[in-house]
Amino acid sequence: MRLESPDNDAWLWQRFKEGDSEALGQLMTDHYTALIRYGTRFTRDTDFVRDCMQDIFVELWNRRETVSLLTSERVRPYLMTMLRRLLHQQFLERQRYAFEPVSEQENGLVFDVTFSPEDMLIETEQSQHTADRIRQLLNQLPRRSKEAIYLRFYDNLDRAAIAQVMGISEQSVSNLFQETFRLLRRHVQSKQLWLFLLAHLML
Amino acid sequence: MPDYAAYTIEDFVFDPEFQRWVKQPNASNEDFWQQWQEAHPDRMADIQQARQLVLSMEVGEVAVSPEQIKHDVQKMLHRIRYQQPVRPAFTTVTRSSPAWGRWAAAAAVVLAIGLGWVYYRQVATPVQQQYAVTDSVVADEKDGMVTERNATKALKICTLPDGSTVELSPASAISYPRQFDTDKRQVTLTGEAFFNVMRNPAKPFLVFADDVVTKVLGTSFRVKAYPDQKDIVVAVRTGKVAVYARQAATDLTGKAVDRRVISLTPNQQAEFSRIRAEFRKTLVARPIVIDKEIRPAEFEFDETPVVEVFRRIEKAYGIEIIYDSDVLRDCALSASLSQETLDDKLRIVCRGIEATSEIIDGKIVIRSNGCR
Repeated sequence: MRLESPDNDAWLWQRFKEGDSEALGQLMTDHYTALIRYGTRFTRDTDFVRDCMQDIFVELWNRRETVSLLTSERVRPYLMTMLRRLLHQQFLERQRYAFEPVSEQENGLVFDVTFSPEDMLIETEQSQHTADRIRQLLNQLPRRSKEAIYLRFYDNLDRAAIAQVMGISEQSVSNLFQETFRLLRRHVQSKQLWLFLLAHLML
Repeated sequence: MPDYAAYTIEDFVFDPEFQRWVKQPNASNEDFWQQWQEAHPDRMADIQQARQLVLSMEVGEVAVSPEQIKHDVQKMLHRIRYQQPVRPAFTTVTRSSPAWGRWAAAAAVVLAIGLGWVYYRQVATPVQQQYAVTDSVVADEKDGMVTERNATKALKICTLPDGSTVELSPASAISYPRQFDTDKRQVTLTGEAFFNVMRNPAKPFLVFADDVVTKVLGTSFRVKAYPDQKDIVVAVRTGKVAVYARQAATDLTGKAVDRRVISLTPNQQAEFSRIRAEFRKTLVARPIVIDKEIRPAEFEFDETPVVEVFRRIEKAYGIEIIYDSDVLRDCALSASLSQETLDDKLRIVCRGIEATSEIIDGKIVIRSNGCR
């Protein structure tokens, strides 16, 4: 994972701007998994996402003299923003040139994710039950909240970066988190209270 | 180390170190969090809750093999090293005078498209575009006027002297001067074409199509004027367009406003009846989202006031919606409308608030008795 070496990205970015294509290759290698995972949240067509990823890196190369210098923590959000934008653009384009409108059900570009707890890590039946409940709640969240949580949790993006990638304001991002956590707390409270008491009694 | 004492549950959930402890416990982080909890007994419930959340947020992720990454990175590097034009260049059939020059240019176009095609098959994006390739596109020139006809079964792209592009439909023709006048850009169309006009407020762009004249400054729109159909249709994708009946268009620079002049905004279209010589304003058959900034997520509604829902639809499609905001004051809607067409969106919204919608004069009119 890139997160462990945050200084590297800024350096690679600069090298790539100076015309080092290997540095761009390294950036693509390092962010590949995160990008493809994020992209395939919008469409199941993995090849489509892979093609778009090709295009954004080629475009970056062609614009290397004009793209701005980035700090390490801005690199991934920048790439994700480009990918998200291109996916939507290409999708519209596809619709425009298709003789028949692309069926929106099978090809709609909306963020989707299914939360599924890792069973192995859940020790007791008790916590299994709670985890199931939380998962259920998470999966029922509006898509926007899911996407924000995904970006925060999996890509460790901060509010500003999430706002940039999703094309919404930072305040909207905060609101999404607040709503989500309010909901979760309300539903998990009683069980946790019980756990809390139990833990105290046992001490 | 972060000040964990000041952390909320949310902060714990999103903390990479905390996540690591939950998902990949090892001796040292076990120790750390054990001690931390003992030192902060009042936070134990929060820790438990955050832990549950971390576990619940797991997502079944696709596996990406190192080979796939390597393959795609190599492909990208290969592309930037041996780059050819990313999109095949669709030049118009040339207008140079010597016959050999025309053939050479045509050959070059064929070659370019051929290369583009080969390249396209190998690496390019999956966007399918059907365009005319060669000979049945005819261009000829007379008195400084260029006429391009499309006798193929595919679209043909023409580039005009000002850089505007025209997607000429089959069985259609367009003519334009080799060089536009100083005060206007005038073209004549038979059949159907989609125009993407370069913005130039100093030089209005005029499309003469049979009895109808369309005037724009810079925008994209479609004109349909087949001689064998009784209506002439002008449909707007972006920007603002004025459409005139030809009789009224004799003096386009004058301010005289004829009854047979209407202006169109995106997703609106004008149908000119040749028989009655008048316009009817409607919406295009399949309105598209014209606001590029709109994200699908903005059509996720959760107890959203319906007035706000209409506002978002208006913004996305650039179509005016007329409603009584006082009557709709108490109406709210929860729905996910990101994938629906405009028609379906309206139907779902209207069903939700027991209203009806109607298209009048290119606008959407909502009638409702309100929600109590």
